[in-house]
Amino acid sequence: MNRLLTLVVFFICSNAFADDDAFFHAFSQQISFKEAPSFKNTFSKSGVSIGAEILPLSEHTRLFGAEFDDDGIVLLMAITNDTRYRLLISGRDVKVRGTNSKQIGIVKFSNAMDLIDPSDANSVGKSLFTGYLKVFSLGIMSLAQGDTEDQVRRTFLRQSLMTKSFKHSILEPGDTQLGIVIFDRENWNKLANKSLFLSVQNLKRLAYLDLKLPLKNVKEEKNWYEF
Amino acid sequence: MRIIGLIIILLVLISGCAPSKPRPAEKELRPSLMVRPNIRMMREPQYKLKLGVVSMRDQRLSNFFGESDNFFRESVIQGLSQSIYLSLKRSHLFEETKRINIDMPDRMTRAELRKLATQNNVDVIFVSDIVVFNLLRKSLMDGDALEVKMGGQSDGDVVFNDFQLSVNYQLIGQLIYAKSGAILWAENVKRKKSVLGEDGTLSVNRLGLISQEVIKDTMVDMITLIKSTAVGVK
Repeated sequence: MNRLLTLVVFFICSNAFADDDAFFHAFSQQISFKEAPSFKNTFSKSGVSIGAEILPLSEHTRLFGAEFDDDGIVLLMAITNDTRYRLLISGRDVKVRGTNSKQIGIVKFSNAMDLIDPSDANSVGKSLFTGYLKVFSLGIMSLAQGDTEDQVRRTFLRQSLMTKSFKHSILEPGDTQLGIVIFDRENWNKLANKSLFLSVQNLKRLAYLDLKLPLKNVKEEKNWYEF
Repeated sequence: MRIIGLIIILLVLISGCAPSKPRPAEKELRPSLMVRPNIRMMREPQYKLKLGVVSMRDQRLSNFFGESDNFFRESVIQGLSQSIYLSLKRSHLFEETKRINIDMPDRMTRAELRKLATQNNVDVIFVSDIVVFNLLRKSLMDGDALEVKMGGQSDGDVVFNDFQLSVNYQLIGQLIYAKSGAILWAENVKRKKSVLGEDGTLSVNRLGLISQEVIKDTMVDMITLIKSTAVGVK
């Protein structure tokens, strides 16, 4: 009986949730690919290029299901390896430094998750709440799975963040790594004349290359902040 | 009124069988990450050198499940570092393999690495980063509720599984020759092990089993890759 009910619920709510929800859609969306030299704000050193820009707000919704709140600065960054060597990218060690010798690191994953509120109906858009039946069936689905609809959305958000974040990885010659990094706005605002720092390791012989990308030309859409 | 009554009964029935999310078990019941390596030992070592294995560096984006990392008897770093050490030792790739109990910094110069090797009387240092080690719980929506014949049940039994639970493990390892700083081997190794379940929970035994299997398989892949792709020392 329980299995039958669960099946019925799956059948009803597969349309109600999966087809309409922005978080579900975002899960299957990918970052548009471009190499680091194609960014407006780019820097090259010894054949390794780095580029960064503020992620447009429209892209927040497309890639994650809703806009990140104002407490976070979301950067899209890329690194392109035009050397003959394989490189190790320390994805968790991306830093922003100011001329006042202060620096900040990227926010923790759990904090990044908190920058999007899955229960914010406005952020989800009109798609989810289009009818009583859908809301009702979503509720049943949530109960059947032991999850609330927010938790289901958080699962999608979590997976979207995991796949689209800038990662610790090996970069082959000719390859590009692309991903987002998030910084805390309050700490960000304390820095003057910011530059993005990233260190890469050569995988032929132990050596490091420090990359510094000045963030002068990077501007936010809403002018919340100017670099 | 009848319809409302029916809805209430339906909700009560469903909520009664509602599963809960995987949660860490009590400390004494948690499974261990330290597994017996499933590695075939080489008769002759590939390198007539001494190897030192340092603790893994945590480069994960997120914890094992949700915000929790306390699913195992030991810490994730401790358990996985030990499994790497045991696998490399068991493989007999090097003449001697020893564990170096230090927290490896994110960045180490050649001189610092040479010093570390001299202090511990080894020639090669194995450095590794955990990139992913987590549990993903995916509800099989969109009519994906699979029909599978579960082992141990009579033929013809069909079970509708509503969840897929996967343990993902990904690491980046490097074998660095301390004398010259040459990197003999560096590779990304990853594995995933999934189980299907009627509900979203994961028993301690099943968690232990799939975590240990994914670790064993990753270690086998890593040792095979080292055997076949590592360069020699000039």
